[in-house]
Amino acid sequence: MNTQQPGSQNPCSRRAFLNRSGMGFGSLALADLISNSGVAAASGRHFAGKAKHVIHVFLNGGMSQVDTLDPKPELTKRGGQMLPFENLQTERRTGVALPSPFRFKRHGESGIPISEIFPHLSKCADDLAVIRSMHAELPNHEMSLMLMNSGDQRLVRPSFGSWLTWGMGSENQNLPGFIALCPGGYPVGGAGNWRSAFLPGVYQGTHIDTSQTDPKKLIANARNNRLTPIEQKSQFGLLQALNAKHLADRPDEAALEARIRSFELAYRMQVEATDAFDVEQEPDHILKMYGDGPQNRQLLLARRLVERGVRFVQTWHGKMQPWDSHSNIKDGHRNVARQCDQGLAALITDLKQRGLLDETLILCTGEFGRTPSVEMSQSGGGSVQGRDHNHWGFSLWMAGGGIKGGTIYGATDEFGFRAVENPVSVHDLHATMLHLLGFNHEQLTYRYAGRDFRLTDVHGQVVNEILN
Amino acid sequence: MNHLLLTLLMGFSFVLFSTSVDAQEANARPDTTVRKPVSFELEVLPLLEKRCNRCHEPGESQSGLDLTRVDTIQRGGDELGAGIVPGDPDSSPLIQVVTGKAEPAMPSEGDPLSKTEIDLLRRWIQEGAKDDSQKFSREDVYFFEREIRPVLFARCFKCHAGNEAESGLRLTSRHGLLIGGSRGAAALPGKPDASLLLKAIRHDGDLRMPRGGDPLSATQVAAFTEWIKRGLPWPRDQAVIAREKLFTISDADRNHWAFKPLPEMLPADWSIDRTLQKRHRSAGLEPTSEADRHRLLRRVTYDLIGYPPTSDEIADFVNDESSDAFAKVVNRLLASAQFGWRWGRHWLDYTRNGANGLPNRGPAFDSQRYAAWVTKCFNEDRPWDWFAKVHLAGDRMPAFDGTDFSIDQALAATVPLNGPRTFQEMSTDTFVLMDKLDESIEFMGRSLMGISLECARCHDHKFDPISQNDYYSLLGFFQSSSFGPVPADVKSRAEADAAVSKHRKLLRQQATLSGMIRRASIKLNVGGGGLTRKWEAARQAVLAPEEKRLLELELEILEAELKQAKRSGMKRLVSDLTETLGERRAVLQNFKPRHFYVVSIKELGYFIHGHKTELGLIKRATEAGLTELVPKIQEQDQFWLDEMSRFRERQRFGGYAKSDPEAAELAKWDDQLKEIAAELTANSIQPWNKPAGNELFVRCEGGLRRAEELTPFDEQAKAAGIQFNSNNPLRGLFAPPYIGDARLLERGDILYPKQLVPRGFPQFFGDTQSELKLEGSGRLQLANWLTRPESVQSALVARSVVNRVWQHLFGEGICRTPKELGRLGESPELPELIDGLATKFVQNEWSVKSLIREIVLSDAYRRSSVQTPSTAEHDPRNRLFARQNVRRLESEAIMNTMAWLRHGQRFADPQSRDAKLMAAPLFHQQFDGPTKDDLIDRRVASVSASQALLLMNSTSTASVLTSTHIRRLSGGDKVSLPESLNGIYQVVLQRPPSGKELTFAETFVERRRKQTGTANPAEEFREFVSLLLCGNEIIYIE
Repeated sequence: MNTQQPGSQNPCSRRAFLNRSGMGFGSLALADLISNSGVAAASGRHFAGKAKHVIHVFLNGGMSQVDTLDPKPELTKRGGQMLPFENLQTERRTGVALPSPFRFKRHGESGIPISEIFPHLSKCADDLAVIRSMHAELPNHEMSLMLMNSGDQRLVRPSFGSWLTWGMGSENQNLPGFIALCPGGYPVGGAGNWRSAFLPGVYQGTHIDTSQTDPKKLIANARNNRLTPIEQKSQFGLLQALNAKHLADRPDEAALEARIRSFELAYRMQVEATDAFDVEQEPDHILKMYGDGPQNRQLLLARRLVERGVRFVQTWHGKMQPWDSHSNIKDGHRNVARQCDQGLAALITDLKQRGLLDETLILCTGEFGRTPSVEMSQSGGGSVQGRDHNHWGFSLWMAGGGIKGGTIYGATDEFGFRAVENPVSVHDLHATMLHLLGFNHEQLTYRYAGRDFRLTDVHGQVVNEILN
Repeated sequence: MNHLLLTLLMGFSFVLFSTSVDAQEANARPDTTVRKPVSFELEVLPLLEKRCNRCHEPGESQSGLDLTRVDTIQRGGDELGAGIVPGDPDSSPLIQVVTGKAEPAMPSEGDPLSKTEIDLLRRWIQEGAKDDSQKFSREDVYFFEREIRPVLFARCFKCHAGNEAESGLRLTSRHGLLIGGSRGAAALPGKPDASLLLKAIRHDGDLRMPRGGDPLSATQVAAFTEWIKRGLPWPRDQAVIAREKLFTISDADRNHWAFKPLPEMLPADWSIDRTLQKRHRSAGLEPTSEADRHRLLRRVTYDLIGYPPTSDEIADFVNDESSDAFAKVVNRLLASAQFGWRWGRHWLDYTRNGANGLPNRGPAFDSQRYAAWVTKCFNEDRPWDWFAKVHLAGDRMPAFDGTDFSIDQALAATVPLNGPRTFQEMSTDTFVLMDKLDESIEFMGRSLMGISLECARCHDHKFDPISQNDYYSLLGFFQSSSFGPVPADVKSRAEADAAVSKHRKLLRQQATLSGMIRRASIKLNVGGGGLTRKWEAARQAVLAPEEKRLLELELEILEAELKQAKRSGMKRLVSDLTETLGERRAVLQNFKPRHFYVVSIKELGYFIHGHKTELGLIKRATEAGLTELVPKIQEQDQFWLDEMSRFRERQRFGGYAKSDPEAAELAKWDDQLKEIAAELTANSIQPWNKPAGNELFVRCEGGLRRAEELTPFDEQAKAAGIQFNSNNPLRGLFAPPYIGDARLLERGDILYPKQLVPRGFPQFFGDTQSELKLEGSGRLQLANWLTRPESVQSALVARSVVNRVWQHLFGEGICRTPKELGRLGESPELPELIDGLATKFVQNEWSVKSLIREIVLSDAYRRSSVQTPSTAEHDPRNRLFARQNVRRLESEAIMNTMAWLRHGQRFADPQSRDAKLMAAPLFHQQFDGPTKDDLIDRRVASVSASQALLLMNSTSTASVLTSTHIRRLSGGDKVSLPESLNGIYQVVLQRPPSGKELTFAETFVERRRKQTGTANPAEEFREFVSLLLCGNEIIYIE
């Protein structure tokens, strides 16, 4: 963090510092910092990327591929029999082939098969690029969450959103650049999922509990209970006068000026941020399009935030791991899919209508998939109707932001267990996303403790086939 | 899981391998339509080097076969005779063994050759097995041996050798040079000027070699030029002169500022200011003058104890005209109880304290107790070399007061194991918990020595003189020790050791008895013709009506749910529920008793209480408004719970009840097990749970064995009638604790253990390992080594400390990478200042208080922080410390300040402070409080809008403003703001207000009265204080 440390007494870095504090002017000023201070760090975007924002819909717990995006007739045919190969090792013991309880149909002109539990999303098939050959490294939630978020399943590394806001800066001076929405609490792994690690703390995600519907309560301390707005305005004016005088004696201290700006921002946020989170301001037809429930509401929120220039929005399905259907795939998956299906379709449609889909990359994935074989009850008795974690192969979809809609990429074996054709690692996914955002993943580096770090470490290959 | 990892890794290496071969071949023959003859030197030899030469080379020559030269290939080996038949691949033994047509199938290790590889060999033989390698005169080869080979070994093979050569370039063979690496061929025979190698060693262009060392001498460069001119002569009998990377220590390593011993003597008149003055003069810098007394007192008070000065302290200092006024202040602060908390916290940043105790994270060490002990060490100014040693071997050292043992020291010695890395499934990972041990090495390097030892886990350190071997020689110390529960009040080491042994003995007994019961139970069960099953069958009649009752209860709930769904018009849900309802009714109508197992009863528990994403009956009943059903469901629940224990009992005692005479012996063992369980205060399987009672997890001798080394113990267990699954958590603990050397892991991977590496110290530091007689794990010797007077390693320890202390007092270290003083770190502008301070520090018996006093009393510390034209011009970044820095308070100091403003007192410790401050965790979070994930070498000072909102609007701030302490300052509700202004300023900003500020306050009151239409001195006072709390002055030290 050496020379990139905000607060170093470098007179030429003032503007840069303001920018780095999340209050700046985008990547131009960032580039300015680099050329001024000679710091080999992010130099803004490397090329013009199509996407400017990311919405990552996190199906935490792990979405089963064979029940959603990767139909496997062979699995149905051999239901109840052992697979013709030894079951790959996952977290728990699994048994015979468990056919999907759901029907699949082809949708749109592209004919992408999607299961019946996503009736709304199916209508957007032609906007989706489905990767069916994802793979992670271990069948554990926490490690795979870390891998998906930060590219390392073991060590403390910055999350994707932190890399991105650090690399691109924020477009909105009144809102944080990286926001994690999760109703009801934290997912497994807690705030570690959106940490900035060695990147400066301003780049960590801001968590907002979207089970709260009152926008004023969504943001901590957004209201002053002692003063009327008019009183507060005058109070604020005096504060800035006080600080301006203090600064006048120390004109070279960038941090002091940054802090003055932070109060301006805070003052404006009292109004504007609550505005951004106030879903009720949407017209009726939009509210109807998204539907009810915390999932749908937070997807609408994601659109409002992206519209206001927030760089990276992550929407978590809920606290802990709602998609983790170990014991009953039928009810479990139907339930969680129902909670977000309408909102997902609405999000795509809505962004498209506003001309924002081209610059907004939507990623919808869990941390891994689920086994096509049935999970054995842990104490060795009978079996239940659920599926275990599966990192050997899983599916996800992306849309917008330069993604070629109506694409299917890669394949798993005939039962949907392991990615066999064009396997895509999480590093490849990250490299591809960064590419869409205008970054060469090999060049987005940060020097820390004497070494250059990358999101993709020494891995990652852009999946060109799904790009427009 | 090990199997899984293995498969994964093998998969990966296969992928890597095959792509690189393809790439190489694609390079070698870009166009397959016009086939050039196969080159032995450039195509065949590299393939042989990669896949065959590990065994079949002149030195090893397995079966007498040397596959590095065409003539020796033709001659062949002992078994199969001539290796090839030129022109006839199918008859060539070489082809036969790699295609499986003849025994022994080759290669004996690793994947078979790919089709492209085999095709290449075939084609070469088909074309007559031509030898295109160049022959050199004896004189040329002699030139190579004399001039080139030594330089290659000494300067190049640290990186450009072995399987993972830097940039893919191997300089260990002639073909390696010709094929080159990612930048293309390294040398073109006969064309020195066009050769990349020469450009690199001449430093002509961006590629400068050797990296990180002195350049080659002019003579050496000339020799390389000549060598290339002669066509790269190479010895014929040694195509590849080295097969692994070679760890070397260069002069540049020895001359690195931090890797030298400290100066033996300092000039008698050495001082910080004299050292700085020299540099200021030569830079033409005019240092700033001394800060005014108010600012200085505020600065030093925050720096030393983390609180602002009180009004009395301000008055005392400002009015003290004696020449040692400031020294008196410093001594008072150093003696204050808060000093230890403040400076102890600086150290805690380097310990990841508190990271443990989360599931899977690591042993639940008592982090608060440790923090309190650290505080005590700082307050008592215990010598740092002792303090550092305690963190490696505190359990093996006498207590500080001279007694035999200190539990706190044993606790401190567990600190290396603090950290976020998981040891999920410790059961299968009796791989000595490699990641936790790696954290220990990282702690020792980064926190104690200021270097990055952990970089050498997978390969030799790329920049510092630490080899992979060194890493594992250190790892053995940590692997030979572990943690165990010890009563907090033990008096001696013998007692502590006994507590750990007893715990381990109990675990062993537990494992033994469980195994015996299990075996005897199986015998009884089978002997009775499946007694358990019979008993289960007999229960069917009892259980069937109960199960039916439960299903009927669900039916009621389902009906209510359906009604609800219909009311809210959720069509999909209605159809789902209708379907389920139909299914359930059918089940009830044709209800048949079924055979229950423990598992099926457990699943009924899920059905009642919910599991993962499924809702349970109780919750469903409540949500459907059927609260009257809840007691009935609970009754059912109790029934099944009782039944489950009956089932478990029968299972455990071979189909009998525990009280049956047939199970008498088992029952006795079972009772013994219960006694053991009651005695076991700590859960070694889930050590993230705190031990019960007054026991603490502390460091002890003897660690875990590697999983593959457990086999003999598994056999012992089997012989004793115990059988472990490979993932039984007791398995690793059944084996006696391990004291011994660690194995080197290839690429740092737990699945690829190689040779044992004797415990010892890194080669660079020059200690001979033969002298080392280790006791137990040897940690005490390690600790003694680390702080041995006049050694390079102790110099590193001292340099780290002085640099960090300086950082805490100036906001920046002298070296700005305080946990990386090695060659990857930033070179400090003032190494002589670090060295001088470190030498004095050691002379003063590693006294941290003396060190702080020395720095704080210097002119440098006392200078004003205001930039002057001179400092702005000559040293805008203040690298030479001609002025102080403006610094934001750290989160703890901000919390101290807020709590102090609210209550008018300093707190005994952070816990009592947090209890008196509203929303303490928010302050921690918002103002960049330390994480437990990493060793923190500097605090971020972020600036954010949410911080501003917290100060402007939070109830926490409001509670400060309305506190009695603050209100008292106003002098009562009748007193106007300007009259009480002096008091406020003294307390909030620790200085008197200026004339302008008085006017400002008057304006403030005027405006407010105009706005609100009334005069309310109390409110005016409160809101004015709120302004000061939000201002910049309060949160920055100048």
